[in-house]
Amino acid sequence: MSNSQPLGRLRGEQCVSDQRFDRWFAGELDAQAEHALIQHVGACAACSERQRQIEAARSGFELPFISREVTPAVKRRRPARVAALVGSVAALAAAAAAALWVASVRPDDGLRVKGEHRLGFYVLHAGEVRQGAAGEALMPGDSIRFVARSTRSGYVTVLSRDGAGQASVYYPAGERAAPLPAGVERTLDSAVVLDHTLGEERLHALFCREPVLVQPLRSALQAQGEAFRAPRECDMETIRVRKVPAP
Amino acid sequence: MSERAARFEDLYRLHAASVHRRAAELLGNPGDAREVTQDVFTTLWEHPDQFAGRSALTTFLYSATTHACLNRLRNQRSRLRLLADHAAAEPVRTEPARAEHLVALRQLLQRLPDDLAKVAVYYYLDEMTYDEIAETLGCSRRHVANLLRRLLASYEGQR
Repeated sequence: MSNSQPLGRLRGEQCVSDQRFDRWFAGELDAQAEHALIQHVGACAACSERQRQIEAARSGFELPFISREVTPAVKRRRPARVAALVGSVAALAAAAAAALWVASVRPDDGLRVKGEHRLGFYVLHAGEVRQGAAGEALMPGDSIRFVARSTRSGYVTVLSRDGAGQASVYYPAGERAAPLPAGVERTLDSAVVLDHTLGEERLHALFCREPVLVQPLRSALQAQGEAFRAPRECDMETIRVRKVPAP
Repeated sequence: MSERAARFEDLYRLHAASVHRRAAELLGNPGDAREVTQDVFTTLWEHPDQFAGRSALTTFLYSATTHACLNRLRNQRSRLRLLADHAAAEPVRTEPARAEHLVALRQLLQRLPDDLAKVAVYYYLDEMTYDEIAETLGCSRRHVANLLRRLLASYEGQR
């Protein structure tokens, strides 16, 4: 290609494209691609900075979407003239215990969000509450609280494996998975205050048909890491977040 | 709220920020970016069959957003507003080096036909690889290389 180009690229040809970052945040990369991305970003100041910029844009995004279901006669119009807000987004604006959802979207699912269970969370940081999302950058000292919903009655537990490989039970405090009624948006009791271990952390919600013991699951998660799979009586939803140093 | 609406809300939360970010960078105007974001997801809500699942949803949304933004840039009134009112528009917060890059890109896009404009967006804004551009455009890697050669030739012809 000629050296005479209309303009240049801000980062190298081997760097992570914005599209790849967005696919990562959307959970669309397989484990190998994700590992390659993390390895590159860890060694590339330009890509690390671009990731920070993209995450900042995600954190600051607040535009609600207006669906036909909420306002049946809606037509495309300038957002400034539309007052309706979709369900739980309005609840978030009211700082209530809103149902906050993070979907696990697989590339072949199209609009069909996989699974009948959902895990979401919100973050308390420096006295302010915000909704959480896949790929969220969290800091030591942040408090997170989970919200879960399932289409069937069962039991739920939330486990975590942090950047140092340490597994924890985030919910519940008791020894067995806690009841979760069908179709109910449940804010799970007890918030978790994040410690100083940095790096990627995986949050696993297990939706089980039985009140399974949680400590054996925690031990299995710690031992197996990425190979951890839900037991036969449970379904699992996973969210990846990142713990970064406080500025 | 229906199950479909709940699922769509999930998708919106997962993808809307990236649609808005790209629209804001391409258009340089947060108000226009909000409209494009709303339009992209309204279309997806009303016509879900447009996403056939042949690619990742992110890839589909990249294509839809780029198409919507390029249409706006070609609108004569938008173009005049960009040129005349840029200083008065609500600023898109971005790093200075990137801001300068985006201004140059928008000026370039206004001079290009649709096919070259799209590849310019993916190559210079999103900094995608040839393979990523090919997947987003639904063409071969060779065709992407040809488009970039034409883009350079078009630029050199205008200098």
